[in-house]
Amino acid sequence: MRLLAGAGLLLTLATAGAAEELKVAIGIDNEPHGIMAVALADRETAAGSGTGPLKEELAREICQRLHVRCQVEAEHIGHILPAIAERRFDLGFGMFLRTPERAGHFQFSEPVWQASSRLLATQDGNAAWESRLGEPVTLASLRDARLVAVAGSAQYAALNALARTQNLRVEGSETLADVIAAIAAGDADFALVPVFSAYTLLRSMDGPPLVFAGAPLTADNLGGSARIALPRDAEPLRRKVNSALAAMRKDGTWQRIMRRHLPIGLY
Amino acid sequence: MSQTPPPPMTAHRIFVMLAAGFMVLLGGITALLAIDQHRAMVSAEQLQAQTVPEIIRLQRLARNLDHLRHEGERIFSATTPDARQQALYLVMLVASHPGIQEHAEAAEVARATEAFLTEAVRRSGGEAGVDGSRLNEWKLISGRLGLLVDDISVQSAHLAANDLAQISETLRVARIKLAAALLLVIAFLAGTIHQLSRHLIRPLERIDHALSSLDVNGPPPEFPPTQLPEIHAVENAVRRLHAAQVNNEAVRRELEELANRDGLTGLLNRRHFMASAEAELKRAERYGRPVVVALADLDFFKSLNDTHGHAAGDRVLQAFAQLMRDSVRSTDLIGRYGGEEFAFLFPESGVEQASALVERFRHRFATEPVHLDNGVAVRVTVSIGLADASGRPLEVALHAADQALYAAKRGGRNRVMVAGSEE
Repeated sequence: MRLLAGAGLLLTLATAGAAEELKVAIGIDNEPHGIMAVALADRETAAGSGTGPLKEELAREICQRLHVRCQVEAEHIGHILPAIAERRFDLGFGMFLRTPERAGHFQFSEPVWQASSRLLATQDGNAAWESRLGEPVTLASLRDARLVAVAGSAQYAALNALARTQNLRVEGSETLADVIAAIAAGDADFALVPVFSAYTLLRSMDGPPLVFAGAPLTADNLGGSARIALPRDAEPLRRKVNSALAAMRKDGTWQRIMRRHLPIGLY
Repeated sequence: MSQTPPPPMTAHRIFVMLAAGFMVLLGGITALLAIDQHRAMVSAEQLQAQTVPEIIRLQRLARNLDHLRHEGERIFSATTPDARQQALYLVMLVASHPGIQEHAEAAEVARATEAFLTEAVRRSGGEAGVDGSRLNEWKLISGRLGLLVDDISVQSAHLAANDLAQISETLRVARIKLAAALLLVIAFLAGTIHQLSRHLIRPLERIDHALSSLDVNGPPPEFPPTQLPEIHAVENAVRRLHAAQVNNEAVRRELEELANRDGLTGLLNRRHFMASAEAELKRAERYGRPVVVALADLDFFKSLNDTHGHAAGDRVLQAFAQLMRDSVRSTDLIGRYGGEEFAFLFPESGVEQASALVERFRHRFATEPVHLDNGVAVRVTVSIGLADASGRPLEVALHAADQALYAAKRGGRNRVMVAGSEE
């Protein structure tokens, strides 16, 4: 009888413990042990380099404020939303935009930061294209160019939408680090990348200097307010996450975390 | 076609109108204050929902532009290509921020800055520093960035100032309205109190005074004209009350007369004479004044009744009573003591003075015939006993007078005898 009671107690504790755990997906910009990782400085965590460590720290701070345990997993950005839809994750730190299409399938937190996309090229490559076009390079002015973006991303979709009319050859890569590597290796003329994530990789990598080209893009889901994604039926959790974000901004925790990962206090 | 006169302005109607007026006034004031409060709340909400976020946005924009300028300075001060490239990456990151892109002038300056710095870094190649010839141009760009930062900071400060001024103006107007409303309420209440005092309180005070000083011997109360029918009704009731009191007093006096007077002669009856005489004796004793009592009895009255009938006896009694009333002072007491016997009390009189008085009276009665109803004239005499009542109980004095009367009867009737002189 005592054995049964003890087993019941353990089961209850285990159930309670499970209820107080959040599965968090951290969108990675590079494979921690992939080819590009060798070229990156030693700043890796479970979420690799790039924006991964920043997202992971934000996730753990939110979990701490929600008094829950975080089970953090690194995941390719393109895989996060489908995984959330299947309830394999409770929070997705891919810095997603709330598009009308997504709004019907997911919940989103208040904005985390502002995002934009830009073309990325080598200095010399960009200069050559400017000379060829006779004007600064823009996405609309590119013709017969080789472009690369993270497969499944908004940038990849935007390039494909222009591919036929502008005769663009669009390639998709698994991670942002792979995209940058393709540019650095000369496998593509330009990449369309999220600027903030790209910066966090560029500042840590060796190789030829790269430059952003053209105007920052926010239309067509290429920029705007980046948010944390949640399952559609997670409204109570969304409110708690928003409260935690507001509290972090209010007590300065947010700013301190950003300072640890960026050299300037960029808002 | 005659017009129906308007209904009188009753107190109930006045109170209803005052209450309605006050409610309208209070409701109007509340509405005015609610409008101002709503305006203040709208302004505060606008400050919180729009202005403050806009201020924060502008401050962030100014800060990011300052970052841009600062990283540009780093590019020019950097001594290695890598340091310049790191700074350039930050310039690109900041210049790409959507917050900057949303501000047309900031976006234009940021693009120009980024393009200039990118070109400067590209041309520096692997050199230790950036070409110094570009420094002057950078100073111009940096100065433009600095001015823009200042302009945006000032703009954000003005945003808050404008909203706060609007809130302040709303509160100032609300304060003026509140003061005006307060004055209006005070004026309304003062007017109400004045009207209540004039039409209700003062008339009630006059009614109270009239009631408290209502006197049956005084004139009926007079009231100034009043507008309220209720007050008018109460005043009429007070007048009726006074009239009723006067009437009751008359009835009371009549009843008192009936109770104290002898029905045949109109003189005091024995009970009232005794009570009045007792009081007069006490007063005389208290002040040490002389007083005399007397008893009179008609001579041969039974024979008169037997001869001429009881009506003739009654007529003689009435004639005797009338003669006594005509002969004595108003302060003297005369009462029918019983049958044909009468009692007297003479205040402020000694025995000699009273004796002379009753002697004149006896003589006059004996010499003037009494005319009966059947035309027959009869002469009737009276015997009178007199006694000094000073310092003596009434019963004792009357007993002495009775003894003197008895002596007068024994002495042959038709005479006055003083107690103590009959031996």
